[in-house]
Amino acid sequence: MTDEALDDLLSQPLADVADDGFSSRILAAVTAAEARRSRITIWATALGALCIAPFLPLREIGAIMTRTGPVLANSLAMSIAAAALILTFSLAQRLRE
Amino acid sequence: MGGDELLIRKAVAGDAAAFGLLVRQQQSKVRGFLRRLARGDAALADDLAQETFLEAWRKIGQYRREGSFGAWLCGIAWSRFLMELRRRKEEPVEDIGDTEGSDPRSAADARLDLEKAMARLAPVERAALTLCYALGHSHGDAAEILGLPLGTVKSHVLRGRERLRTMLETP
Repeated sequence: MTDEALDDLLSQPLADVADDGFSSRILAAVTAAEARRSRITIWATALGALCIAPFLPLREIGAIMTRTGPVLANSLAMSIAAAALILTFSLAQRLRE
Repeated sequence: MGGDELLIRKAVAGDAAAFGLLVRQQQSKVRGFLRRLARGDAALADDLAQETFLEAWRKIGQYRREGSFGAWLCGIAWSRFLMELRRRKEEPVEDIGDTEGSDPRSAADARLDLEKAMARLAPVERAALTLCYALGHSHGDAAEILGLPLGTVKSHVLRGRERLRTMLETP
């Protein structure tokens, strides 16, 4: 067998393998894995929040919020920051689409 | 930006549908590669292909765009295949495979002859030859995919090619 003939034989592309639902099975498995992961994340976050909630100084936080809330709501800097956040989020959404 | 590049970016960002499209594009190549490695065992090859794609989804953030996405998938497929070999404790990667079997020239079809002869090569030779010839990767890409030095891949290709020639020529 000549080098050329051997190279030609070896260079034949692999036979096509029909999808036959393979991609759909992979996508279903990926989606299920993602759902499982996000359930675990939600439960872990909730559990963590429950664990630290008794140790938070909630009364002091409430008092600070009552004092600073109206000031922040009327602040120009906060308004600009909020607008910048909304614009950034909208732009990111559009880029993702 | 090419369509594939966009799909990869979306998949990296967590878009499962985009990853599904990439799977649809690449499944034939990955399954074909694994079928050849698994010496035609389609069920084993498909199980390994499924593991390959699921691992790819988990690790897609680690994909560096230096090589093609298909080459990256072949690298995962090869490591999955090696794990399966080690699990089964059969057919050492470097050793030649089963030397028994039917006469490769008895089949009329040259392709069938090639598949039979390929099945008798060592797994690493099968992989190197398939990557460099049938899948059209460079020796450098193949070295990256197989995780071997370039010189080692070149010698696997040369040795595998000569073994194949002998098998195809021997009556």
